[in-house]
Amino acid sequence: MNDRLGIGIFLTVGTLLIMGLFLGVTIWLENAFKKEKQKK
Amino acid sequence: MAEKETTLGTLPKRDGNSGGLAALIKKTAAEKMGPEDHVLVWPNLVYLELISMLVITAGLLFLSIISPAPLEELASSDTTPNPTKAPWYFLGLQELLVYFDPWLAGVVLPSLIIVGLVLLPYIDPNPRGKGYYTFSERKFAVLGFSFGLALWYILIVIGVWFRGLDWSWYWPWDNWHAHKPITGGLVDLEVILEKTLGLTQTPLVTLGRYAVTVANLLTWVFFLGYYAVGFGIPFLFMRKFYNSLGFVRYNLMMFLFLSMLGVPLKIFLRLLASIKYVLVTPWFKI
Repeated sequence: MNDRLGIGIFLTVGTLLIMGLFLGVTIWLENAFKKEKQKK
Repeated sequence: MAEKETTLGTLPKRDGNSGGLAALIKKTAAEKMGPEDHVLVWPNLVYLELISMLVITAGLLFLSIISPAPLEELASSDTTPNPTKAPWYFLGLQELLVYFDPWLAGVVLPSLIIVGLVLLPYIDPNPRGKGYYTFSERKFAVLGFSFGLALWYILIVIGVWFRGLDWSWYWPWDNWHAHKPITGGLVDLEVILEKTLGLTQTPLVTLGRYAVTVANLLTWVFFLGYYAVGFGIPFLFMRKFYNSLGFVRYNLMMFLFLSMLGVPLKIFLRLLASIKYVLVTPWFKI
């Protein structure tokens, strides 16, 4: 059971981390392009 | 503009390279903007694409030199490798086999993913985010897609680095040469319901090979209830969202979205509640 709990936690944390990476890059790109536009 | 009759109907007179077709295309809002808001595809974009292609080719060459991927020895029926792993990009699917019946993990779920991705441009009528990166204007779309993609990748990560002998789970610090004891204790939801609620095992109806008990009927209620609640909540409380999509798009989108959410839900039911199958019939198990 403990092993299964560990796998469950790993799966959750892993999914959230990868999601965070995708979202982080998207938000960073959004802001970077906004700033570039403002400069113009 | 002078027009000439053709077999296809009336076309505008030829203008330069487009043969008059450019004049037929309705101008979009972006095209109506002045030239100062635009950069040209050639050379601006094509040069960037060429440079990206060269950089990626160089990167791949470098990777293939530092990390060779030789073929394994010829297959032999005497020595079956344990575990037998698919190529890395299929390991997510192979990992799903732990949690789902083969017809679901190998046929239904991959088909839904492909059909869903093909349908996505038709389901999504929102023009925001076209041609530029945005999270703030497309929160639901970006979150939903990121979740599905992240789930796909984490299953691949597990298949590549955490599955060892007999497809058992191995942490990096475990002894990868010793077999792990097979942990049982998984029970179908209908058996749990029978035991906890003290339900009878006598079938209510028998449909050929299918003996429908009260517990079995309850599992159908749970399964269909999941979709019913999922379809119902946005319909009742987020009417603007429903109206923006329309009946067909909404139902397609919610079915795909709920099926995607159902995958981790089923995985957690197995991992944390020791439920093997939510729904059991003689023909399929979910």
